[in-house]
Amino acid sequence: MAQKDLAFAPGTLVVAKGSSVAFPNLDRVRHSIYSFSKAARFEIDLYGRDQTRSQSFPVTGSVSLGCKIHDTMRGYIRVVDTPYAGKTDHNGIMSVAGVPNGRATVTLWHPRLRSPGNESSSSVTIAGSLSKKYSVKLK
Amino acid sequence: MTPTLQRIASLRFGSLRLRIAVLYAALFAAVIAVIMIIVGQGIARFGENSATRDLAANARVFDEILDLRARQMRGAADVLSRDFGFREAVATDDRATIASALDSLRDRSRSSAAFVVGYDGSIIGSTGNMLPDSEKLWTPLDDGDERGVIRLGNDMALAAASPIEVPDLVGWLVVTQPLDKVEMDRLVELAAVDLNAEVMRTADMDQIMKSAPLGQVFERNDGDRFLYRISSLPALQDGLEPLLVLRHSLTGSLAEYNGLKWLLALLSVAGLALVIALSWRVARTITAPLRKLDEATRLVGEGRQVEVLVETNDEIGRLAGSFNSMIKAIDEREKRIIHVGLHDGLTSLPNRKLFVEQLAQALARRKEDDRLMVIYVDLDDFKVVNDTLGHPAGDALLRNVANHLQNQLQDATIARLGGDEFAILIDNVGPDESLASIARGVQACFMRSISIDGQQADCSASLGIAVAPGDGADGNTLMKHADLALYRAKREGKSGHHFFEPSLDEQARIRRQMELDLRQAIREGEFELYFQPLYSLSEERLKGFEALIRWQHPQLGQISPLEFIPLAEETGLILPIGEWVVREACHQASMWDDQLSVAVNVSPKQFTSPDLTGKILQAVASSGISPNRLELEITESIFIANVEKTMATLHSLRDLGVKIALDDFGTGYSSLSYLRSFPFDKVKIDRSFVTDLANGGNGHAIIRAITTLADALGMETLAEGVEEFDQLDILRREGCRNVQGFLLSKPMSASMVRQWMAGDAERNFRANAA
Repeated sequence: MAQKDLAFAPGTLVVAKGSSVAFPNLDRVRHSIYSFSKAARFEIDLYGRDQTRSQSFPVTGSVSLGCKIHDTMRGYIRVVDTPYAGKTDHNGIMSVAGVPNGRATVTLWHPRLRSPGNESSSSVTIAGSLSKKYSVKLK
Repeated sequence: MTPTLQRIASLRFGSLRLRIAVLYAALFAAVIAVIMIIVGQGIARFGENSATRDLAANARVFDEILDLRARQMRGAADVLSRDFGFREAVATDDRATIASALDSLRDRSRSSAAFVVGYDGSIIGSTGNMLPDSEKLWTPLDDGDERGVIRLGNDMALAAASPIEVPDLVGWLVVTQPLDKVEMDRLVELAAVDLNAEVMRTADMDQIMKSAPLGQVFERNDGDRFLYRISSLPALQDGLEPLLVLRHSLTGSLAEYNGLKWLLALLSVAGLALVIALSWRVARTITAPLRKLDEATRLVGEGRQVEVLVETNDEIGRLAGSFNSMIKAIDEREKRIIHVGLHDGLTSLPNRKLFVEQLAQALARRKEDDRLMVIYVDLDDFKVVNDTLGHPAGDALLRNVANHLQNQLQDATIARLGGDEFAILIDNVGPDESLASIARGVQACFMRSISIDGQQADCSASLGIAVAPGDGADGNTLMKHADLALYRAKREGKSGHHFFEPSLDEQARIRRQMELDLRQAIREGEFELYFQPLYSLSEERLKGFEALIRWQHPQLGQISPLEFIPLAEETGLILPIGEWVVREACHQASMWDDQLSVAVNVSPKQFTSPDLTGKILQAVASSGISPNRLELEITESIFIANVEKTMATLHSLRDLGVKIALDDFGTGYSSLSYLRSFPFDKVKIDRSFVTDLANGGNGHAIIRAITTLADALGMETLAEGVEEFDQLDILRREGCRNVQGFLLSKPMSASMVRQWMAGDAERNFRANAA
């Protein structure tokens, strides 16, 4: 997850549990990174251009990232422990392949989703291919 | 008329000045009152409007102040909420750290309280402070509201919220400031006007305030007048609906204008006083001259001479001028009237009234030894001038005489008493001066020949003179005595003067009494006719009788005609007496033998009376006698006045058939021309000639001449007053045809005449004659 133009890029990242994420600073200014999320609580001191710092995320959950000196910078990392996860495109469409038939729990997450933990879960029964549309409220 | 108008109509002051002043003052007071009301209302409206504007403006300021305060608080909160350490404490829910940070913030920002509302609804506050219900705050905070009012316990507080982001929003840092009375009062001090501010919940308000329009100024009367403005404040708490109530005392702000009102009232009172003083003065400039005119009019009414001073050139001045000329005109007219009243119009001499006054004055200033003459003048024969030359000539004569007198007697007072009578007053006659010579001098003034319209008239006058103090001390007496003296002078013949003597007074009294008695005699029939026989010598028989009047006075007995006939002649009573005589004579004659005639005397006055002929005809006709039995005896004096008129009357009498005898022939003016001018039937020879016969005079020659003349003219002759045989003989010898006298018979009453004739008149007469 790079820091470019005073923003995290990409702003949202879905990673598997235990993954390590690199935060290259592509800006000309220095950045720091912090998180007080329960899933990953850490602080990375200021570092300069073309420097990279990495952080592993061993716990599943949502991690909100900020820069100590640039309040407007927001980055979100969702640490998952399932292979059937992904990020929607700009049209809000995402497809997951290979999900076995049977009952499954669908969890929707968005940094501004209006619900505790910014996520909502529901059960579905998967038999072959399933196309389902979810509507959520954002803050 | 309405009662109000009646009252105004009855507002009639005795003084015009007061009325003008009061009306002007009332008018001005009314105008001032109207102005005061308008100005008072204008001031009130201006005060209200400006208070309203002030309140509205200050309300906006107040909003700004509150907003600014909230911003300051927000700023202070932001400092903390952005602090990474704080954020970390919040994120890690390090409550002790948070609380200490909040305490620090509260003290630093002079806030009352600070707390953190967590996104999960938790709340952590600064130590010792009451905390709000976080659930009610959550929604507004979540909606992003940053400032607003919240409720802390029972108090309202201004709150500013700052989000805490790490980097996601985890809660809000809220700083509060109480909006209690102390704080509000502190804020109010920042406003320009005296305000009372309060933040209230809508729910705590009464109905009127609830329904009041927000953001607008309205008035409410709570004993005093107040202006209110209610505006809603942003709330940072659900269901709070805080309202900012601003109150401004209108009574208080209007009270500031009271000074102005008092000043206006003072000015009005001063103006009113000035108007009263000025209108009083103006009224006085009008009424003072009027009062002067009033006073002057009163003085004029009292008969005093007044002139009003003309001070100005305006209406009042002109009025004064007109008044003066009016007074002058009245004065002149009065003098003229007085002159007319006191002077004779024809001669411009003083009249009787003025003469009386001047006489009284002269008597009053007469000195001890001096004497004063009052002369009454009567022009002789003025009547003749009037009759022959006409009244204009008579007037000219009077004017001529008056002028001449004024020129001749310059020291004397001369008055015309009326007709041809004048009065002359000569005073300051010294004790040594001769009254007689003064009288002669005055008399001489009249003795002259005057030319009137080319005709000469001889003028003369009779004078009666009374002298003060001898003949009387007062004017009335003197004038009466002068008049008596004049009467005497007239009777004594013309062109003479007579001084008053006391006996004249007595005679006058007798004369007045006799006149009264005469009138009574006419009324009561006290006259009686006596008859004296007329005997014809030629025929030796009784020819008739002459009727002679007798007056049997009830007290005085028989009165001689010589006494009362002249008086009757003067007073005009001769006319009714004469008429009665003719009627009675004719009546008696009708009882006699047809051969007997009756002779009646006709006085000059009777002769000139206009209806003499008619009266004679009436008497003759009613008695039934033949007209030629009536013989009218007239005297020569009838020829004096108007010869033509006399002739006409004589001829008209002759035409009646009555006979006419000329009485008292030979006396007076005896002119033979009379005999020629009228054919008298008879000439009566005056007794004086008959009396002469016995004295051996030359009377018989005169009688012969008269009888010869009468015979020649065909007139009969009769001798009066035959008392002796000698006289009868001579008369018979000298050719006198008829005689009358005591020798034959005295006058007899009517009854005696009848007895006398019944007893053979011839015999009686002869017996007498023998």
